[in-house]
Amino acid sequence: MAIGSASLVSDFALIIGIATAFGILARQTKQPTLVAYIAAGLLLGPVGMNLISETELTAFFSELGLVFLLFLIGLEIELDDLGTLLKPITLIGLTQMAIVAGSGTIGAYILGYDMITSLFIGAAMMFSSTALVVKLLADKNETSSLPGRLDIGILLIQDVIVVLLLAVISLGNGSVLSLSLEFLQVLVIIILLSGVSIIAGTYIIPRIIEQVDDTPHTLFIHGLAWAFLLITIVQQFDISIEIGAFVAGLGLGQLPYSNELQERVRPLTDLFMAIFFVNFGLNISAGYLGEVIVPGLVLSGFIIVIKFLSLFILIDRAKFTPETSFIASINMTQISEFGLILASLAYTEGFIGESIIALLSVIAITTMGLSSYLIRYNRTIHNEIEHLLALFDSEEKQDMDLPTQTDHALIIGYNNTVDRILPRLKETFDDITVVDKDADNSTRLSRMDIRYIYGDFKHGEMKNAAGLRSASFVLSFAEDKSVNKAILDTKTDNKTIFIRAGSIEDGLEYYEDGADFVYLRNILASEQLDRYLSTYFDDRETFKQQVTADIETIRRDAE
Amino acid sequence: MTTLMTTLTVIFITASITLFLFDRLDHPIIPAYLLAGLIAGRFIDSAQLFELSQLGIAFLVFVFGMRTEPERIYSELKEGTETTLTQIIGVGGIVFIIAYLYSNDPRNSLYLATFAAMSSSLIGTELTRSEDRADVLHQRLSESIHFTQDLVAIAATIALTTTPFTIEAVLRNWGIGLVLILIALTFRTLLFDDIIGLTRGSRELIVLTGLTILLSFLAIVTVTDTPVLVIGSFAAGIAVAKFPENLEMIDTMGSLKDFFAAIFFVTLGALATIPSPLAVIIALCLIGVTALVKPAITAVILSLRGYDMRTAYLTGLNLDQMSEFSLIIGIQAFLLEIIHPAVFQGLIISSIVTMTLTAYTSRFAEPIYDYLSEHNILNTPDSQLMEKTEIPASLNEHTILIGFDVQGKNIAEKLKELGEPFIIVDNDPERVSEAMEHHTYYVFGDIMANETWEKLHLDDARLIISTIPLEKTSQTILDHATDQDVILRSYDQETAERLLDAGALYVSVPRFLSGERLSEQLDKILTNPEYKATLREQSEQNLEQYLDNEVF
Repeated sequence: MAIGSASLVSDFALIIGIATAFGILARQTKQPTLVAYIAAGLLLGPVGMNLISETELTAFFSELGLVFLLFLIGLEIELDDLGTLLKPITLIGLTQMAIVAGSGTIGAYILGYDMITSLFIGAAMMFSSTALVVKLLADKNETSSLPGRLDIGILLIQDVIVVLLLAVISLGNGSVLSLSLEFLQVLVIIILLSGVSIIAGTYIIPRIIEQVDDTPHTLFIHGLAWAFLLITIVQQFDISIEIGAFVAGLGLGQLPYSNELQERVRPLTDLFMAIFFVNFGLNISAGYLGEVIVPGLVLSGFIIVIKFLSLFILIDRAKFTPETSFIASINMTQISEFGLILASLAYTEGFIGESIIALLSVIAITTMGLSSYLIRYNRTIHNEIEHLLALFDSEEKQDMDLPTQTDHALIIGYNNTVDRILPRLKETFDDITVVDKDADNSTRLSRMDIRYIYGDFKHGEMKNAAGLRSASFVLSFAEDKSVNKAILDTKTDNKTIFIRAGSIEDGLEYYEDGADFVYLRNILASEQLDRYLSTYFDDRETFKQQVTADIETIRRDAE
Repeated sequence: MTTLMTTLTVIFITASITLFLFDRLDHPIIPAYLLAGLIAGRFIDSAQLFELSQLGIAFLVFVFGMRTEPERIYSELKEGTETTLTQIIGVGGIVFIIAYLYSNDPRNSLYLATFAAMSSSLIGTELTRSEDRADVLHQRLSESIHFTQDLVAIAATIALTTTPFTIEAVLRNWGIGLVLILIALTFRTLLFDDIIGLTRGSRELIVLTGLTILLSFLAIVTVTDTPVLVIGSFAAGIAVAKFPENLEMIDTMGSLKDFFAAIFFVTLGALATIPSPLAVIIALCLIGVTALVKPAITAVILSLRGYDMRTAYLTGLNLDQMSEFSLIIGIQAFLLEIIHPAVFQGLIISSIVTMTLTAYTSRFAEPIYDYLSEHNILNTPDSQLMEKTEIPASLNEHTILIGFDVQGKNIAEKLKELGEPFIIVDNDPERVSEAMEHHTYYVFGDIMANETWEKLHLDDARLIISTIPLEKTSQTILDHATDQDVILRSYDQETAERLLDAGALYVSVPRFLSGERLSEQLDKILTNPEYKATLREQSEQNLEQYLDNEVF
């Protein structure tokens, strides 16, 4: 009865409790939660009160955290979306990583670290944080802006590099030749597996899923099984298991259900990653912290400047406007959680000493803490120094036109009524998005000339994916009251919102919150029936004539 | 890669395969997991899964607690307590006596009695619930019986996992449970809103907050040396059971629950290994009791309480499976070595069988009923029915209104206004007494049963209106109607077309009627944006009027 054992429960209660408290504090001060989790680990571990140490279960959960994180990142990559920006992004992304890694290595070397260690420090600092940037941009509704897309694209390139680096480091020590051969082998396997996974996700898995009446629950379990299957496969080749999860996610990311799957996996990832970072803090010993704090701060300042400048110059040279270059670069000035993950892996493999983990933690906390403010106030900062940026402006620089989703019609829930009103909506709106959580409708919807997202609208990220904020017409068939409330929260004067209510009380509440039209199926129907009944008792023949039109449409619908 | 990771791989891949197969057959998922466990058990060491599967129990009960808003406890208990308690005592009593006579072992007998008496709420609701769920009496009844059973099961879990098993110790643990629930309620009233407010809608922090609450309650219980898991998790659930804040919490905790509960159910299956002959006998007995005796006893109790035979029978049939709470009690008792391994194995096997079987019985409930009543196996003596009103023989050209739900009430009002005579037919005792208060003619009974029709003066009737959107009911009505006009109701156009072909004069499809109306309004608004304000004002007023008129 392990859970019943006092120490395990209280350890977990402490870890999660302190992490939550710090997380809430971070949220209040607009800081990323990651910083809070590491701080919680520091407080509970040898640096602080020395209350708990890593246990087998926390270590296992940390491992699961990485697996789920990479799975999630794989799921989030939609190959189609990369399209237009792929070329500039790949070039910018790779060059910037090289510049940052190079400068970082030199910086660390100057501070007195040996060459190998400096290389690892440089490599660990070259990534920017996907979790942080995407999260904050989504909060500001900037993920679909041009700078937002550039950033997310560059982060995706970095994610791919992370996967490769993880593979390299897990190969361990060896001669350069054998290492390169092994790396080549790993690379081939990863590419092959990704291909298999994507083909399976695009062609085979949808066929299988079509055969059953799947619920989100079973899809979730099948998704996990797929991830675990690929984990087992990569493990046969001695490749680190996170990569299997990533490749599995990549395949399933091509499914129409990927958004739903992401939302299911996310809470698990949140939990396990919180434990991962607390665990990270737990592993830093007090002695090192004092030793690394000064070089940590120096490197933080240095890397923020390098990251910003390198990215700004690169994007600027790709002929984007100074504003776009500026915003896109200022968003990316932090180091990534992957830096920490790489460092802990490198430590396990014996490449670097324990103190480097502490050093990188200091850098992570500092740069992430600072950059969350930089992202939050990116436009304000831009406006302050706009006159300086004018120096970079020229005629030939312009932002490319991106297909953005604005002024579209958004429909939550799919049914016959939607079929009936679609033609009329198409006359007015160029873009129509339908979000539906019934897997049975997916084949049909994905064939229609609309944008279709499979998933439950109550999930937070789904609202961004569907462009709720920028839609100019919203029609909701959602049964969940909180969903409708959230839709009404985005009400503006030039947005029209129609909502189907479950009860009269709910309906009136929706009106109070600004709905333009609320309808209750049963009320509209009984009003009509009342009218018919009066006619019936008045004159049966008139009644029969009246309902003929109805009956004809019903028969047509039934076809 | 740790061995635990390998184990999880085996678990999820096996579960995925069994789930896929069960899904194709429209079977519930829990037996799919148990079966996966039976298979995977040969390849994995289930001992290392205990910790993770305990988390599964914690999340299952936690999420159940979250749905247990105190307001809900009140309304469900009102409907379900009497029936549930009588049923539990009846079924449990019989099983206990038989098991005790056979084994002379009170404790194991008590466990068997508990396993037999409880039914699964997860599976019961999973099978009966669909998007357009009809407000059908027997479904509502079985839902509240399930819910009441779950509450009883929580009390039973505390008692049955108490060691040493003495009255003082059980009372003490129940006392601690009550105190915990009180703490939870206080937390819910005073602190929960503020804490959720602090997370500012961050789902990540909501996940962690939920976990903190769960783990804190578990930690409190640990100190008191009580069986921790179920009561701690339940109290933690109650602490956050506040609508609508609990929605996001249920949603995020949902995937944690799904993940760990899958591990839990598979582990259960893996523990069962190859059953001994005794286990098979126990399983057969449990299956017999669950699938036959329990539904029968429930049906008898309900019909004695005034429900018609058909409702009583269908409600009983909804309870013909084992409960996941029995599984929770079972695994804890097994790990504490309180129960005989054969009892535990019997529990697992009978759970797989009954949980799978119930998918079929719920699908074929109606044909089975028809068969039974045609062969006079189910007798419905008139004395058990509520008295009907004296319907004067002079009643002529009247309307028969089937279903006294919200729509039915609306129609009744209209008929009254038009001065048309009518008879209401419904099988819900509460609705019938409501009709009684309004001095209208009514017949208490199920429209699916022949004897109901005999009371309706059908030959003199002019029109039959039904508000019940079930195709089977509608077909029955059409079968009985002679030359009366029939107006029916259906969920979808396909059914409506069939009913029209079968002779209905008109079929009201709320989805269709409201859709027509919606596209009308949409067209107006898109063509002329000025209309927006007018529409809003008019339709809001309209709703308000409805709210005022809702009373019959």
